[in-house]
Amino acid sequence: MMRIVLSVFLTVCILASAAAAGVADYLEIEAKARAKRVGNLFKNWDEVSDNLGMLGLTARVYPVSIMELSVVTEYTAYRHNSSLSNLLYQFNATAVPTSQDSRFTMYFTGGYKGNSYKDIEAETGASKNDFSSKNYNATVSMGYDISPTLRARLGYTVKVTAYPDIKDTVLVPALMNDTEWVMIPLEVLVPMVPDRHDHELSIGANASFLDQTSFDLEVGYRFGQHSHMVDWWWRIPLGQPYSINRIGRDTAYTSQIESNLQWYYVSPRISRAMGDRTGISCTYHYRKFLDPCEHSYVFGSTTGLISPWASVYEGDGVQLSFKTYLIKGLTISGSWGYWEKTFLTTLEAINPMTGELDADLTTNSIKEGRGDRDDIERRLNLTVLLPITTHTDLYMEPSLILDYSNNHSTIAVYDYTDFTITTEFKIKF
Amino acid sequence: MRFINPVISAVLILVLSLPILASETEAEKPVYVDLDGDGLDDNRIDFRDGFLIEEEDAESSGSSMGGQSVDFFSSVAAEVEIELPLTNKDRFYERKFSTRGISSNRGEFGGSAGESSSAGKTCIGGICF
Repeated sequence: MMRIVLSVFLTVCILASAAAAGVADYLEIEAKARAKRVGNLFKNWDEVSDNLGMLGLTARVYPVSIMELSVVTEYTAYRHNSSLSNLLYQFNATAVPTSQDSRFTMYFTGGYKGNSYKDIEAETGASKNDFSSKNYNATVSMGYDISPTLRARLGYTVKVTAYPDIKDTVLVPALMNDTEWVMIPLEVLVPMVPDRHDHELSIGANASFLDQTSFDLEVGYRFGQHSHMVDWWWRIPLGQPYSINRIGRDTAYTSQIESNLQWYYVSPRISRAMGDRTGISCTYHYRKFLDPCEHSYVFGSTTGLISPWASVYEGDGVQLSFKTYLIKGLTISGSWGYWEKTFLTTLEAINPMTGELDADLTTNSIKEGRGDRDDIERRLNLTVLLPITTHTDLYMEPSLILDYSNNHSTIAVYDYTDFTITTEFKIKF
Repeated sequence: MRFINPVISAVLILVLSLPILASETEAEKPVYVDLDGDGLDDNRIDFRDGFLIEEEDAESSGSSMGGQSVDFFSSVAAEVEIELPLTNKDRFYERKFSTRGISSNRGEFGGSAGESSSAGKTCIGGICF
């Protein structure tokens, strides 16, 4: 904790010194504070709620007019689930080499984001590694104005989510003498959770027509590796105790099969202005797997070994949004969304007979615990901002965000509702 | 498709509102463009997107669009207008404005519209919600 406070304090001092040194033309500093009440932290039937507070500081540097470098530091504290309290640090570089008057536009960005969780291992035995990840991303995209009302675009993004390795002891065979082998323990680093690598290609076009209406169409293709289990996991003789909790994390993850997972999406959007101060839009999204590995399945959240692919789905959804400046001083936006999602086949630690949580899975229940997960999600969001500017270029923005979601699933674990209230105050200079 | 009714309703609202709003249009106005998908004309001011574009009717009407720019010091600031040279930051913002349609895609469609940051996400087993 002391280390985190010290690092934030030093960052503030460095940034304040830089600002005072007359580099304001090349530097932008943003500080924000957030209070949040989350109704359902894990988006499942546990309905764990919590209050959290966040303090954040962002510095953006403009060494040349085509580039922005940014450093973000945010500390989030959870009131009841203190193991989730964490320090986020993020570095980004963005470049726009083309002029704003050019018909051809290019955009490059890349960054790194990591979290450092509160070290509670010594206090409670819980591992902070349960929550850690490192994220890398890079995007290159370009657009071209075919005419004043028609634009085309093309983009490529790569995202890597890396999870920490853990130390584990494995037995390896060693030759003791000419004829005799022994097993000796060897300490190795094994991946905690399989890393995710995703590549996205997208192409789109935007056209304005009928005076104040815009139509946008985007088609995308995404591919990456996919770590999963296959049938042999349940081909172990029935009746043999085979508890997931007794497998051990390393064995569970390293025994998985790697394959490729691809999907494409098509997303049309129509938007239009309703007068000068209000805009509305309707976006549809359709996503389809191209080659899902048959008979594969991933760990769901109740197994304690949740897979990074547990949230991957195909299906479609629609979102209606509005944004208005009708009330003086306020920017109000909101959306209603509806999704029908089919996830990858998921293994849950649920007794198939009782439908209740059963942590002591047997091979039989592993077979029966695999289920197709079909969800229907409805989501309502309202955001109210009060942007305030002064002649000294000081920008302040208090905001209130209300978010309600309701999810129905064929797997009872994912039947939930969530209502989250967020208040935030941002200041930028 | 259970959401066919809302979709039809939305399309109907869009189509039915066309004649009413078309009559307000004047030929001199710049071409309507909406690359960020909020429905508002990108040529007009839009704070939420982080861009500050001068609005055309601010001086004539005496109030900013939607009133989202509240200048508590306007009485002091409005006396003299001095045009300062653009800084690197200003120039970058102008360039970035031209990338608003290409800086992100809709591959992750379904995220919360209100989240301004990834901080505060909840994670379990290395997977963040």
